[in-house]
Amino acid sequence: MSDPYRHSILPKTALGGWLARLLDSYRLVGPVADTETVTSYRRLGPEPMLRLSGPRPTVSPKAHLLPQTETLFTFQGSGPALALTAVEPDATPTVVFGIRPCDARALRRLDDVFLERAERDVHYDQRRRATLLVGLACATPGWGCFCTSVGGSPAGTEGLDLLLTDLGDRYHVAVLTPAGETLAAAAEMGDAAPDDIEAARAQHAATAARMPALFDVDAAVRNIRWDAPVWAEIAERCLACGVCSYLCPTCHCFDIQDEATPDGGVRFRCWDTCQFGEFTQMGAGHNPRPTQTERARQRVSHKFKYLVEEFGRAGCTGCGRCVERCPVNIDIRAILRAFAEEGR
Amino acid sequence: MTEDRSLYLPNLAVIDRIAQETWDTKTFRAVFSDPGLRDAFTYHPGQFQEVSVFGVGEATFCLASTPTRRGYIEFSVKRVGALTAALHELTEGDAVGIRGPYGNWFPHEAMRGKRLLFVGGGIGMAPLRSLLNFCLDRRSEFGHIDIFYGARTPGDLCYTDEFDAWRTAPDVNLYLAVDKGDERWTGYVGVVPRYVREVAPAAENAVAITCGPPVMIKFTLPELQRLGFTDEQIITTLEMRMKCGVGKCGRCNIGHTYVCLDGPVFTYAQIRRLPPEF
Repeated sequence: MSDPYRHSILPKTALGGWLARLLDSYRLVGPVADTETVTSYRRLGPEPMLRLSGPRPTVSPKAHLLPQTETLFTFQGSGPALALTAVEPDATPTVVFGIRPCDARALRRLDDVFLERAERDVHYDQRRRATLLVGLACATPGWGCFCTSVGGSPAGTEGLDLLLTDLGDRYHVAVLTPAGETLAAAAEMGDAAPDDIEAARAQHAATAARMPALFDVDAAVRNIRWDAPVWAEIAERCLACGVCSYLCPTCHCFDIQDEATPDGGVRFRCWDTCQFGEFTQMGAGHNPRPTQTERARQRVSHKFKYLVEEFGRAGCTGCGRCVERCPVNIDIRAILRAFAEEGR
Repeated sequence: MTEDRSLYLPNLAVIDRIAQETWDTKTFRAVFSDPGLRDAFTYHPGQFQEVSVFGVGEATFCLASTPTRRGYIEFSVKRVGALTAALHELTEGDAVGIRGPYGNWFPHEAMRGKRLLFVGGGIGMAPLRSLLNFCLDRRSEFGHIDIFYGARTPGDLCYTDEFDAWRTAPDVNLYLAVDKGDERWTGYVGVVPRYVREVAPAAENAVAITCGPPVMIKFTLPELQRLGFTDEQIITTLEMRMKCGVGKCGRCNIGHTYVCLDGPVFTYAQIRRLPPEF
């Protein structure tokens, strides 16, 4: 069996030198340990403190493409002297190093919204075009992970330029794109031996085998119902804290607000979530989603019904963060499994 | 407009006229500061825009003016919250930001040659006024026009300055209704749906365009159906909270339909296919 991409080997002793050379030309972002148990994708300095082992990071990388708060423009003066100043998005060439396949795939879902649906969002687009993705195959899935249930894989390559697989004292490197070739050229890599290629494949297969699909996602998508009792059941427990959306790598909804200063101010956008009651609250008082029941239905249906209808792809890559971090143990896997098994 | 212009960057405009429509509603006329844009800016009746008061924020308003009258745009604002209160504080000469036009529009091409029935209530008259004045400016292209417009009291009727122009235009009937009259009111007292039933405009080769409070729409629909209007012959606009206006912020969807992109104008046939969440 031949792959459509090149296989290389990077000795782990050469990792530091590679990162240092990449840092000459790129901003580097990668998984960094915040605490023993919390990992985030953060900007890396000259002495990268990468945490490349363990499950996917606690916090998704979306903030590097869609910042949690982003100034859209500033304004100065008032009356006839009022002026607007556009803010150029920071489009520094960036490598996200060690991004997990679920998170790389999630960026494709953000692309659907910001680049494919109607007009292009230039703030997102300029950052996205400046971003290269060096993936790391998952060997130790988190307890909430379910990528294999939603069409993904712990070694999936969608959206990646390179995919690294940890083989102990070396990384197997799948070179997936021309941009990936450029990145790989900065490292002291050798050609992968057949044993290395086999070892990487075996690891991918072993990890996938540890996470069998939990439900038939197509059946779940078909069966999601407007009047399902599960929406009210979720609402009874939901605290409307929004952590599911904030950690989600595909949730993209935002608010737009002004912050005034004595001589002007800024217009910014910031993450928002359909789980907050004010999200759809209209000025005159009407709210089309007045209770948490409608908001629960919106979040699940948006990802698994509306986006499927619009793009043919679900807005979820099975990263499992919402499962692991929900303070009241709302588990989207169980919700989807229940829909999938309806009428069987 | 360059390709890399931010979707969120408004164009500056100056408020050059403010009309006090009712105790809580004003109509603002705005002129773009850029003379080129002032000449080039055009839109269709039914489209909306995002209006900025810098330092306070931005909100969605339908264009209440008609693109047949160039050089300015108008929007009517009922004071209900922080942004609308800030707009009401503005005086002539103040600057605002305008993004748009956004959304779809009333299918005026398909309305050519047809009888038009406008049914408006309260501030819901604003998008209808855009289409109505558009049709009056191109009067020969459209058939007979009936206008039903209602409000709670005579003092709650907007666009009163234009009533004479509407009722004296050729082949136009204006039917005004109030829920509760006052000592000077000599017109119809009662709700709009009942007035529609009494006048009974013909449905043949007609289109009904309705916008107003949900309760008015709810009771107008069966009257229109009784008159023979099909779901495809009834057109309305939907209102959802919006921020971006361009299909990104994820706030105005009803199922997979984005009101900012696929709306705000829908036929009743389309609305019946939407999930009931608006």
